[in-house]
Amino acid sequence: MDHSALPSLISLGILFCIGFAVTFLITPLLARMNRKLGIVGTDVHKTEKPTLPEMCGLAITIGLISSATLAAVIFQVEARPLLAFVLCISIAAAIGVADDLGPLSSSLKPLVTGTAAVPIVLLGTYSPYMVIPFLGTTRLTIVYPILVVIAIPVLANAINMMNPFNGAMSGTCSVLSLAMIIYLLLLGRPSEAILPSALLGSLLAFHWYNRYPAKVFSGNAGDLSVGAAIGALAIMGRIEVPMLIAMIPHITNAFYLLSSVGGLRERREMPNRPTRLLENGKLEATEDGKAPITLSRLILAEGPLRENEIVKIMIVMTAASSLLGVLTLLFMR
Amino acid sequence: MRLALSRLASLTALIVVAWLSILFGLFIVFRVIFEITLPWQSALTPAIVAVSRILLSAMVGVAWLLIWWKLANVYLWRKLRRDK
Repeated sequence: MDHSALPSLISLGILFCIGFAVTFLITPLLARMNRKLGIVGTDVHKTEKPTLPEMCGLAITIGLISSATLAAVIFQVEARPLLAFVLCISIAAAIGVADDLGPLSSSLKPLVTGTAAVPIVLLGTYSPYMVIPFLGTTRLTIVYPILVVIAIPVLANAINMMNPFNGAMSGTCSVLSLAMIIYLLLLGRPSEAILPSALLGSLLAFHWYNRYPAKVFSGNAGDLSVGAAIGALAIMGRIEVPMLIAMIPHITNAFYLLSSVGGLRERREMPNRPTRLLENGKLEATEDGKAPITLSRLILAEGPLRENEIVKIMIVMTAASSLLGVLTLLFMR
Repeated sequence: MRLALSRLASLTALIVVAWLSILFGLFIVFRVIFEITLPWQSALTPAIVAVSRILLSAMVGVAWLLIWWKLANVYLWRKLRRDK
């Protein structure tokens, strides 16, 4: 191994630990606070229908902001990309909080999430020279900033739509963060993997509380913030195409859902459900022609499963698409 | 376990198709569509070329999504009918 990479690898470990520790400590505090304030949601995929504190995904945002601040102070990482990243996830989290407290309209939500991309564009923390598999570097000076403004809300909302079950968002996004670290290490840029490493630490800590049977929900605040973080890191790390590949399960799930209901709709606006809870606690796919097609419905098409089994399949699918991302990376060299 | 593996195999196949379609789509967009030029030169030519490239790229994007949608639809209803 190249010895010059060692300090970067140590900083990855430290940032992972900071992200993990902050999120692990903050989540129960947020859970208690939200329960006290009555910010709770029903776990509809359990026969006993428990209520759980919502919006606890903010602990991930706080973990990431703490990690980014410490990265600037301890490792003297360039401040501009860190600032763009912190602003991006904070705006996305604020939109998520607004949506959790008083639901935003389904067409307004993706539009306002686009504002999370503004710090990246204004601070110029992107490279318009995108690397395309088999073709090499392409110059997209005018189109790239427009793509950034489209990509962030698309990814943030795709992550939001892939969170119907306990641990689905935290589990699949942990795999995506690990994939990001691997891509950057394979590209020989370990110093750029510090924020993905902090994200992995935060997500794993949150997964401890959010895994089946969940004690907390991430809420739109957590989902949008994590989605924006993944999008921002893919753009700033210049690994857009491999991350697009790694996110195939999330992107296809979002598209299946949007196209089957004929546009942007919130869960509460869809009376026909894609899955139904059985008395034995398992879930099965409905045969309702009007119900949206979702990844969970495709997984359940072969027969009923428990909630945690569905999430395991989602995580393995994300790992499979992340591996295809590695293969794509080889075509980009 | 066997059931989960069979589900995973089919769903991973869908992911591989999506992956191949993305690679092929990117190739078409950047190698074919972005190379389009017009045989005549005028003040409007750069704008016409830029708009045409964006529209054609968007059409490729829509074609990707329609292929995925069709495959998911066929997969879902075949599995549900067989299960019934």
